[in-house]
Amino acid sequence: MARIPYFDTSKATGRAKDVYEKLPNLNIFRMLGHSGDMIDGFIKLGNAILIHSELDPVLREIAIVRVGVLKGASYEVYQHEEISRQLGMSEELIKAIHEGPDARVFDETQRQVMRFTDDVVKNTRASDATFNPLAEKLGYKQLQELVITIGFYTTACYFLETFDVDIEEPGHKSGVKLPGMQD
Amino acid sequence: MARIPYPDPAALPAEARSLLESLPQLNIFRMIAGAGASFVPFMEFINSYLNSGVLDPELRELVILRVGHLCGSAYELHQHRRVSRMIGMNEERIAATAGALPSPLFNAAENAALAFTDDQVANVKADGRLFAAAHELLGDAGMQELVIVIGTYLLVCRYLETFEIDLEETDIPTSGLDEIRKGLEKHG
Repeated sequence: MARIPYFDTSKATGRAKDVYEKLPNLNIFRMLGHSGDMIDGFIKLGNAILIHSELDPVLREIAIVRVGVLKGASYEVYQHEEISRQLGMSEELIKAIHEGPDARVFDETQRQVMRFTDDVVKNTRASDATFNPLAEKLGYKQLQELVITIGFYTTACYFLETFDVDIEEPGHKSGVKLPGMQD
Repeated sequence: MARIPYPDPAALPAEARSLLESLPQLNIFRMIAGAGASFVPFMEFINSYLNSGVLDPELRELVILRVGHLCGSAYELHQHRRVSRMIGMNEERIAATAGALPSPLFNAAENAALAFTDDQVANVKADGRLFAAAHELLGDAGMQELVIVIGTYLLVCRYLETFEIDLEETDIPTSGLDEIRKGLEKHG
């Protein structure tokens, strides 16, 4: 049970009202409504990461699910494993995100993203050992996107866990549609 | 020296370049202008709580400084000490964000928010009693903003430290908050 009541989205006003007309039907968004117009900026940044960034979607989801695993955020892990499956990621690959960077199923770049994510989450500053190979492989723009993704989804984990946002009932249709998803 | 080069403004997309030109001249903005599609939304997002948030500005800055201490981010601390002074906070209160809680220099809401911040950063899901104590004083909207601000400055500290953003040689003359607001307004 959530720690405070969900926001009644029919009562949204201003920019938040426009935001709710386009958002998927998910409890995280219902909860976020108490923050008023701030939801607009929060969602725009989330959309930039999920829809408009150049980072490969599989690498992105590996980082997001890994952040959820490291932070023990069951809602985030649940939602982003759903997205991962719809992007065509195998169950073995999804399971490996829980195991750690050394899991055999990862290719080299995926393993580097796992190591980098662990490093940034635990140590704030990524070490040369995790930073340099990824900077070379992804380039500066995508590396910035990766750090922003890790940071943004850490915020999401704190929000989800602290407000105890409930996972939706089985069979719930969220309506999430992202580039690269299979129908 | 930053770990990657600051982007050449002339090589940025027109939208990013025009926003960057109207922002305070800070190295974090110079660098993050090269983050592609995330740059403009990131600035819109931080503008929303910096300039139209529900939290008291001094409480917000105390929380941001506390996160800076917890992460050990010299750039974040430097900039937000500067913002804190500009909005009228005294040096004793700024310094106390590095110290033990509760502090007699903070009011009840500030002490509750800072105790919550420590617990949130350490444990992800904040303790029920600390949540309730802060919630009673800040309300639903204030609590949501507090949680999001804490998370966002963890993001900022990780970004600053991982890319090793350089402190400017000279401080900007203003808090920078008005320039951010006007820059985003101009941007539409």
